[in-house]
Amino acid sequence: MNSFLSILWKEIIHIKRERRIAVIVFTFPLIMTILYGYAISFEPKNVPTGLLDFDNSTKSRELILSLSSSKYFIIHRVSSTDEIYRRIIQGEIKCGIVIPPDFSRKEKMASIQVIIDGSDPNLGKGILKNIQSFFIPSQVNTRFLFNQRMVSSNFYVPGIIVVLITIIGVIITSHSIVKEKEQGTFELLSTTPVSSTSLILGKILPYAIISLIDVFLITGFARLIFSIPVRGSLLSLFLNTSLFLLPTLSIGVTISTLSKTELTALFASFIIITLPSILLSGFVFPVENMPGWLQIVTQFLPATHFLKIVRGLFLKGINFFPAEGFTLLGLGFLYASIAIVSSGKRVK
Amino acid sequence: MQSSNEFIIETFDLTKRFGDLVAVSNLNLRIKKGEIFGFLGPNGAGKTTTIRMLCGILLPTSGTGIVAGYDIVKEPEKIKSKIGYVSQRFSLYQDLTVYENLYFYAHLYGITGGEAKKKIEKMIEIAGLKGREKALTMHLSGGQKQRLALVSALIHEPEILFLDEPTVGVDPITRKEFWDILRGLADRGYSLIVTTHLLDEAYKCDSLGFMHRGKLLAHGTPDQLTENGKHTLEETFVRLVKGNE
Repeated sequence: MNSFLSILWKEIIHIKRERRIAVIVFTFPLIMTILYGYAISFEPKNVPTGLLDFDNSTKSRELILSLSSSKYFIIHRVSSTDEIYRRIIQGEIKCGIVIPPDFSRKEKMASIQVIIDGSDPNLGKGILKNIQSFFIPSQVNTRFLFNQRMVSSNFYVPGIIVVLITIIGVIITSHSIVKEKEQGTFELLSTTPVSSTSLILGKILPYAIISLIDVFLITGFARLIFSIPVRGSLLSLFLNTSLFLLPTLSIGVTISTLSKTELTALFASFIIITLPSILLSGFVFPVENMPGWLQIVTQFLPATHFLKIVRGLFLKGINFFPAEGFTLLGLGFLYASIAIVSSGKRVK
Repeated sequence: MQSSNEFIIETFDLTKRFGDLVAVSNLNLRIKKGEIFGFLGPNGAGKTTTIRMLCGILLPTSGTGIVAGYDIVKEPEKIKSKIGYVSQRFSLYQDLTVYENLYFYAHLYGITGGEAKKKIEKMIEIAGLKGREKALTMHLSGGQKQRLALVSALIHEPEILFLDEPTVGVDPITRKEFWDILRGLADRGYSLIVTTHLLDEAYKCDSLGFMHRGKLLAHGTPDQLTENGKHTLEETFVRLVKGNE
């Protein structure tokens, strides 16, 4: 216990004296939240659109006016279908709309031709959806729950919390251990009677607390800047974050005990945890759309489960997540055991 | 001290292999209590590997040794409170002050409260760092850092002090001062194991071991190895190395 407290005390002094850590901990989340919050959006807006009007009637002009006054399209008049194809190939426009000569005469079955650049399928579908909304009178009475206005930042910003905490947690934990190896202080520590368990616990506890503070910091930013709803309780956020930190920081410890230099540790963290947490956790691509074997892989990422928790807590106001909570606890046990075994072998 | 044996360190066919490389081969060493033992040999001779095994931080491939009464294979953790270690590289925390480094190591060894305070003050005095307690370690001179590393390893009053090339990159005057401190410690009953490849330092040791390519080629007092001054140590070692090649 005594040696654990000594390590903890020393680590707090390091944090107080190293300005880099303060920068990572406090400005990094703010910048990232703003960058990602604005950048990640799958709503196609201001799409350059070629428009060919063969009808040239009051009705068609009304349609064009409503298209161009919406935030979705920027209308470029074109003179032929060939021009639409040519300009799509050149990348000047993303889609083309052709209004047929009989547009104003046919009441119900007016057939509009739409040509869309399908090289980015998500963007293409989004554009199509927006165009359709101008024509098909809605017969399906739809109501979106939880995110009524379908604001994509409401969905993505909680995900950013998960990704950022994963990155910060893993990187600063592995930094704190590998730095001691590089500076040779670890060798000296290993000649003292300190056990690897109190060494590692003493080293990660301060960073666990910092990560917890960061969760609340990012939540605050998200509320202020993007008006993200936080419908669940903050206590539940605190408890679930703690559950998430155990497996995540354990991975950071394992990486750092197996790496000799900070560069190796950074690179390993990127490949093993950062990239999968962004691509496979459901942050960007839904886990349900992945092939079965990959879905199994995603279950071993703490971020996958924490993402469900954070989204449920923010958007749906759920406070209890027994399934995800137990899974995180299990993963925590698994990764902490790996961390203790690997550090026992390599550190000593 | 646990052992009534006059040897503080004894090894029995101590061997360490890293893959195909035999770093230390069938080493049989005996080091007496309260003496300065000089471990000599060129770089890569196996001195550091041997010291790491004796400190209990590296397991031997075969053979064993008794350090301060404990077996290095069976009880490496028990050895750790009996030894102090000063490594080749300066390995205290540069962003901690002199006092904080000593405070940290005192607490790691379970020394707390008033006892810790007294010991830290004593160590600062031995190191000649009075008045520099609040200085960040990174701002100390080379000699001051080296003395701080030495007293950090002494704070728990170990029986044995291991020093791995402690005077590398230090000017001659500072080196002499450092050896005066080491001699003072030996006079007070500490056993010191010092690795070096500087022959002038070898003459200051009570006994010597000369290693080359993992083997102990010679073991004895400087007088024995030079046949009471008939040869220099250098001549002796050149002859031994040629015989081993």
